[in-house]
Amino acid sequence: MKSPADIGAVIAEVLRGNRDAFRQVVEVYSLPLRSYLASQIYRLDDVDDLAQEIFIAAYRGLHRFRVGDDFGAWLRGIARTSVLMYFRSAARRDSALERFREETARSVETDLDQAASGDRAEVIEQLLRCVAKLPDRMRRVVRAGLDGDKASTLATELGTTAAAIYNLHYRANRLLRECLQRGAE
Amino acid sequence: MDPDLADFLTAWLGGEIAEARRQAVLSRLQDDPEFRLAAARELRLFGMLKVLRTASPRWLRLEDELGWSADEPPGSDDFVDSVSARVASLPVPRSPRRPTYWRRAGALVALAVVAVAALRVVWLRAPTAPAPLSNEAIALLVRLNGPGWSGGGGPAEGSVVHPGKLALLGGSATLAFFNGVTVHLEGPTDVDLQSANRVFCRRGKVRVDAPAEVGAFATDAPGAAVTNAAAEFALTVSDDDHVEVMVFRGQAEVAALDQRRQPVRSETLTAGQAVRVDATSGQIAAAARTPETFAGPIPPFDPALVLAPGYAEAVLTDRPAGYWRFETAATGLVPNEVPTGPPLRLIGQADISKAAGGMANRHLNLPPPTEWEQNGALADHLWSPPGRSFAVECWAMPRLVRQAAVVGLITDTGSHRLDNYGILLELTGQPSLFHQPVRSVRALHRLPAGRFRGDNLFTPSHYLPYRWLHVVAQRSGDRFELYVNGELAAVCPPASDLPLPHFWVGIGALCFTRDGKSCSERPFVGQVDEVAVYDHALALEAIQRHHRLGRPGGARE
Repeated sequence: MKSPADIGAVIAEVLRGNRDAFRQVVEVYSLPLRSYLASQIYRLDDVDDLAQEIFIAAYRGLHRFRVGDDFGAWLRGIARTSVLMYFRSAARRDSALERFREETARSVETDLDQAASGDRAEVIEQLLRCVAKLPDRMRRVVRAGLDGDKASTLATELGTTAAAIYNLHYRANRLLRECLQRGAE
Repeated sequence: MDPDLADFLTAWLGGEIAEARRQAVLSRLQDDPEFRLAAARELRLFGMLKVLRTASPRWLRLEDELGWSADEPPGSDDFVDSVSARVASLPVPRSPRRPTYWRRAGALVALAVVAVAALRVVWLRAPTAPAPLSNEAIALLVRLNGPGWSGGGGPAEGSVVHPGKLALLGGSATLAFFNGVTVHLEGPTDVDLQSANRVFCRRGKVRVDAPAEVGAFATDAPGAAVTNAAAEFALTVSDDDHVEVMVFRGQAEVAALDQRRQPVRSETLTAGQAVRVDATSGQIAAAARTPETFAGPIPPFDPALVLAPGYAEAVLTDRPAGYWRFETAATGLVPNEVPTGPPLRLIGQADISKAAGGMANRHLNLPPPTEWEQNGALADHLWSPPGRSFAVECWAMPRLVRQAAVVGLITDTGSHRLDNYGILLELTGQPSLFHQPVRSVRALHRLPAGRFRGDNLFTPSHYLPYRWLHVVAQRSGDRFELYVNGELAAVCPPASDLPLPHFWVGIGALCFTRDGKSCSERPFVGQVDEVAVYDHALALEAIQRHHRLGRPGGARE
């Protein structure tokens, strides 16, 4: 797999007319981009649809990208606009939950962009190994996922409260971050 | 843990949290940089975990944009050309015509004009319904009881429904939206079907069931709006424009709207709660849970597949190599009617269920997958057909329109993931995501088996949800054929004459794993029945006989 450092040459290749080379761009940035979007948009179907739109927009506007710049940052720039457009959909604006997520996305935009700037596919994949090292109960919480209903269902199964499940997930996240940090060192 | 951060995560993940706390958390998010950074870290990790849980998506639109076909790797243009040339010599049905740029632009301009006009009307005479956004068919009228529609017009039972107004005089009508939402009306009721995810009720009784995978579905009324996902609720608009809402399952958000249809107040209702919205004052107050105020339960409407007594015998006479009837599933295994053949193992929530109406025939039922559990059925290691002809046959009834894998023959490459297809029968979805023909049955022939390339056949006609389809895909000598409901729908010469190797049979998902799980890609939601594979092609007479024996009294065409 190409690293972001090699991607300049690939982009130059695409700009010379080799559209197939863009597949390598998608390969390198698919996971970081989807992850970045999933940090702001809850439904994974929507995340994947949006990621596809962003790659299409990037391909169409590739001539505007200055080779040598950070392509990941450029892609996230397109993503920020797409996320805002996503939340502008009328049906979503009618929902308090979606309005909350939209407000959140606006508020954390800069911090999230900064946090995501080092995300590469390998880092994200390393997370899988970190999840495997978690204690059983935490792994179950992480694996079971955390939408409202599921948290309460899991709480019943584990004989605890939904709040405790959220707390467990928070602690699991902290361990995962530490694990990622150790992996990066 | 910072209680604000706990509440923030609870709220973001969709958990219960009071509106005041939600606002407090948002304020802190805006004012406290450290808190904002902590929240961003949590969201970033959550995003990473979320995408790791699923396989990479197939981005067919991107592939189309870049000139790659849906199933071909880069550099295969010669292959495309050669197949295209040979296919052109055969009577392959035409794909539905795609709108050109200018036709699209024209349609957009027309829509813009309509929208502007509608906005003007809204401004002068609010509150009323916004204009429909598109005229694509969005639903099927699965049931109509009573006097029907005002003026004698309106859709007939079993016909497709487009965005627009419907005035039900009395009785009831049930609409199955293509995206999986069900809207049940009890007359007298006037509604505007705005789009695939929005309905406006002017007066009368509406009951809505929106499954989780649909996302937000909005039901509007004068001065009120209900937004829900994964919920069933009823909304009633009285003649004096009072709106009452009751939630039966899940949770829904009710908002009181001002004259510009902006929400001024909102409440989240959970199962068993009812409220009354006063359009004049914008107040939302608890209301009595009186069943007669609301539309009654949505009646089941899965059409039964009634098989004539001689159906199984007719199939067995044609010497299948594997045949699963889905009549029983002891310990999760569906027996193979061919004694030496492997059983099918049910995955996730897949089960054997009777169709509504007490019909004797049972089917494989594939409910919507959840984020955590996928469904399907898998049989391992059938034989390799001795010759180059073979056939796959099934009945399928989708409950919604989406790209969905129905039945596939998967080659065992030794890897954990099973997704190298030799044959795949699937349904295509709506036009927004894929440039494949819309609502079409697709048969893929891909030998050598793999994840790319292959010969594609698409039906020229559209399938509908809640209708049984009899589908046969077969290799017959130098022809690859797709039959739907006893008719030859498409044919092409296969690019390869390689024999079909040993394979697994997978039902209801695009990929499986060796330990008996299915993946989240292209899940089929609906029912499947009478799956048979043959190590020879079927004669047209045999295909038509099977189809005829499946039709009497049951399958609605």
